[in-house]
Amino acid sequence: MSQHVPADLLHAFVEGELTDDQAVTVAVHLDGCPSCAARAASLEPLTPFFAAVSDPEPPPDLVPAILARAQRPDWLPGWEVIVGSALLATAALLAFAVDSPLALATDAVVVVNATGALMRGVAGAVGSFHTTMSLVAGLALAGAVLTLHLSGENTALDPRRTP
Amino acid sequence: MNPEPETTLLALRLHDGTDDEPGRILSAREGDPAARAWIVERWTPPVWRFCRRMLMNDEDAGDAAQETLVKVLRNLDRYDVNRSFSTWVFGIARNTCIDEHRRRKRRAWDEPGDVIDMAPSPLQDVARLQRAEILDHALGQLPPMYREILVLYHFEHRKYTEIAEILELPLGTVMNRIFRARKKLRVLYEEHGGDQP
Repeated sequence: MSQHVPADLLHAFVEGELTDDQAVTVAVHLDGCPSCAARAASLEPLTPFFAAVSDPEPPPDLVPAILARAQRPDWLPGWEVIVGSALLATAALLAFAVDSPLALATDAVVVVNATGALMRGVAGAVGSFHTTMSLVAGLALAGAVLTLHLSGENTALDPRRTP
Repeated sequence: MNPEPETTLLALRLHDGTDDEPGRILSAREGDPAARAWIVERWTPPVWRFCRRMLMNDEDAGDAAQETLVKVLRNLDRYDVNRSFSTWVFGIARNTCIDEHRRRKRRAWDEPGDVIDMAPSPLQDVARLQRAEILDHALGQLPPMYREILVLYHFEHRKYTEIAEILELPLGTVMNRIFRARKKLRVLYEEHGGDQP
């Protein structure tokens, strides 16, 4: 449609009285013809009220919040935390169940790898290296206290222990 | 025929004006923090407005807008430079709103349910503002499938063909829907006390 839309056709368009094909043809023309689009808008009775509706404003802290969130890695702890936790649990079982130098060496390797996986996973979730380090240090401390506590109990239960 | 991607990228590179969106999109794609911040600042208001009008709640709109803009930044390399950026952004915003809508278990999204160049007098202005409030309220009562189309056309000033692209619907379906939406809105407007416009 190279010429402007006739008034009667435009009125029928606004009232939704055209066939689908006609409506599509007029719509494509309006998209490329500001003059006809303005005429069509003037025929729509609610147009002035749409223009008078005030635009809601977003909260001022939204932009900084989005930028901060976008800087964090996308992925959640997912598999690294799951695998890390499983490995640490296995290492803990091995440490108490097996009493051989080879098993303890294997155990140490497992613990190192599991801790690495956990750190990466937690860093991804938390998004801050410092927070992650604090968390890992806290976990390590808790682990050390628990280990000392359990080893004390084991010693107390050891039948070879002399009173 | 679409231009070669390399040619389009070159054209984008040559567009490096200060307010030039294609140039900034390309820079953001390459990780430029200033360009990424510009995209967020430029697009947060329209995306938030759209989400607010679709979800009818400031908090939900904030969550959806945040989700939308983060998706935009993280998927910039997937943006087809032959498409309109605004269409792509509104498409993501719409899908995010649908997800948010589903998450809150509201009713189904797809459930149906020449400009006068004359300055109004102050009295006319007051009456028009009151009518605008009634209209805004009536709009909120429309089912989402009708509301989104009116919001995109009348508030965000998207073209019919752009709306079809955002909604991933044929243009004929969009036109059908927009006519129905306007008729329903007129009825709701009068039911809410708006006089015959």
